[in-house]
Amino acid sequence: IASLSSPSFPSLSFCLASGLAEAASKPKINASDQTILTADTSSKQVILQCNLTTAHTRHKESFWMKNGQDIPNTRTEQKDTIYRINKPRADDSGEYMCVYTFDTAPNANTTIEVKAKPDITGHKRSENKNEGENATLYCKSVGYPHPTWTWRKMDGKSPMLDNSTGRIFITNRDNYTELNILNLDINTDPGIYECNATNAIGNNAQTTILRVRSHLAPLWPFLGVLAEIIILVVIIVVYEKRKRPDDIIDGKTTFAFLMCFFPRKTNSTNNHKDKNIRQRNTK
Amino acid sequence: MPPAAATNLGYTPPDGGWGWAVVFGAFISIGFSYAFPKSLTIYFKEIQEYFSVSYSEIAWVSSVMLASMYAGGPVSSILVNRYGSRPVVIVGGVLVCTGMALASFGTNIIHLYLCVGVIGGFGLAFNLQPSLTIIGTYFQVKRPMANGLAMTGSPVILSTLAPLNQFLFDSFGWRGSFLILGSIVLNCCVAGALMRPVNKSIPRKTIDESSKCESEAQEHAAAEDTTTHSDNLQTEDQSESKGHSFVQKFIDLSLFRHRGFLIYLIGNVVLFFGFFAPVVFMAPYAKHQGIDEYSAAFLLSIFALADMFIRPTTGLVGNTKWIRPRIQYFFSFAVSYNGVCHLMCPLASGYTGLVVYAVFFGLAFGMLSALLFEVLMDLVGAPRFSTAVGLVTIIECGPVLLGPPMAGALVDYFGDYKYIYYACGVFMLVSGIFFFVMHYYNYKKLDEERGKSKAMETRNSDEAVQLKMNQADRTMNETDE
Repeated sequence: IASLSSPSFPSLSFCLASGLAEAASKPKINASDQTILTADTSSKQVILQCNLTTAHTRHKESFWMKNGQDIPNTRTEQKDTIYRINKPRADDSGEYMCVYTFDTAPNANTTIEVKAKPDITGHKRSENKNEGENATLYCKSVGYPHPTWTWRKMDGKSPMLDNSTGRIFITNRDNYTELNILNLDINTDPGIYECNATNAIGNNAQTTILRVRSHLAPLWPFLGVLAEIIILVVIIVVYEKRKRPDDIIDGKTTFAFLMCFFPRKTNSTNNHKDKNIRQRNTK
Repeated sequence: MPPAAATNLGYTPPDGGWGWAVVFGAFISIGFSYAFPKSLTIYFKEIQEYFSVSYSEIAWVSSVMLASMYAGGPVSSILVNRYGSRPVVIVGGVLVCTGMALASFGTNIIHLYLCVGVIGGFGLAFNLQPSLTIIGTYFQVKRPMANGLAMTGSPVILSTLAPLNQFLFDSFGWRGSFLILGSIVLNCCVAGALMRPVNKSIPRKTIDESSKCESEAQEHAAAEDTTTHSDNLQTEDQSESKGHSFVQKFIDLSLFRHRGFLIYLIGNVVLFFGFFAPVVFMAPYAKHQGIDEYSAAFLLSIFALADMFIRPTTGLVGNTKWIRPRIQYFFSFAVSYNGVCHLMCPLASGYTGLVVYAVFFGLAFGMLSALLFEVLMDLVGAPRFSTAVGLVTIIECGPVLLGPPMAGALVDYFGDYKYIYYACGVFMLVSGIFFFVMHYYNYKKLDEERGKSKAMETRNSDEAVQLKMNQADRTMNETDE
């Protein structure tokens, strides 16, 4: 592929229509060649140019389209029309079309392809699922042409994953791929999975970590906390049983009268002793 | 001095000693009761996707749990009156654990409503009421402090549970997390084990520690009256229930004739309409102002931090000799302050304004929460507190559940959050002013009644002392002869 990196006018191929006298000749448009965006060109501006030659009727206006959709604010009445892309990124790539409209003739257009390596924009860094559940890993990309996707498990051995095993299903759409693993197996499925997007210009890959939780995993903390609680309750109950007998005091009414000698809470054993002494003294 | 009605417990509470261990147990119990439903919201998104239900259906889990917690109030009151706090809290902890463990095996959303919502909610109700009740039995002089400390459990445990739940969710998924949360909630059983029933057989001195023995002849006679009274009823834990145990087996409806209780109830119903909605809508309001998600979440952390520090402080302040006698005014001030805070919120502009609001609101919310049950205890007294709080919670159920959805409807209708704050501010200001006015009237009445009853008491104790002296003389004469 001839890498014609822009900014300046590349070699425009002039294609003169033969037979100027032909009334029904189609209008010809001179356009820039396809452009490939690379890491070097990311800071420079990309200029797409269209030049209308040999039109019989006056054209009404011209505008640009990208991937089948109108680009706003590009309508002009000039014969030469230029579309600039500043700081082109991967999602600026696509099929660009300059379109000329006529009053009495059908629209004329030319396609300029701007290609780039795919850039993976969306993926999950990690996925945690319980065993037996289904896991879905996905990758999204931007870039033109649309890439082909491959999935790999990065454990050194198995290269490509495909739909053959019956448990793993891969669905690919233009810029999106999905890897579904049904009925997760805790022994074989955990690991690092890589999605790879490849197109004519280059490729890009991203990884996702898949973790499978065992059914019994929460059981150990549960039992641990349960054990801690039982130990605490036992400690509290034992402490209380040992304290209890000392707290119970008999002889309540006389004790109330005697409390004036004990303005503060005292130890129970002292009370027993002093009660006898005081009784003798007061009566 | 606290009003006369509240001190007629039949014994003098320890005001310390094992009481602080009980406060710690109550801290844990109350903390789980309030924080647990709020912390479960972290799992909702995943559960919603798992069961393929709408957001409102999953939010029902929280509502059912809250509703059960409030509706279970009277049931828990009856059980506490009958069996004491300790068994009820332990049963409550086991109930929540069972509910969560069953929910972890749930196959549809109805299963979750039943297990987490109903069973879990009832378990939490069995934690909340008894914890509050037992503080009243252990503390009298230092009760505001004890209440303030115990209510601090809510923000502390919420701050602990929120990141813990996130961690559990990442490591184990929602099913595993529910199982582990079930075991963590069993700590309420440990808290219950700490709630030893207070020993009422020790008739200690009354509150005055500095008076001399001779001048206390009257007080001793009075104390003896009360202690003999308590002796007769000493066989059970809840001695006061012996007298009217049949009525208290069901709901003690005589509370509805209690002036203080009615004031509290009416004021609270109005108050609770505007109580929780500002908390719920703080983060969405911040995001509506254009603040990013993390800063909005940080606002809630600031709120929780302010809340955490003001609760014990409020308890301390409420305990001082200037505030304690007129603690109802302090409560009315807290309610009005809340109202003013909300009314000023729409004036806050930008992130700094919202941070300032979060701090002030945290202080207001904490102050109110710390005093919420203390003032009820102050009004009805510890013996009837259990029934009172049961009645209050079941009646508050309505405003608590209706408040946030009504606020949400306001937002949808007007498209602006400031109307919520105006509405909530108005509700709280109105109830604050209501409290001020009614409590002024109530205090006047109580002072009059106390004046009358003191006159009667001195008359009675004079007679009793006279009687005893006559008896002593007679016995001495008999022994002499």
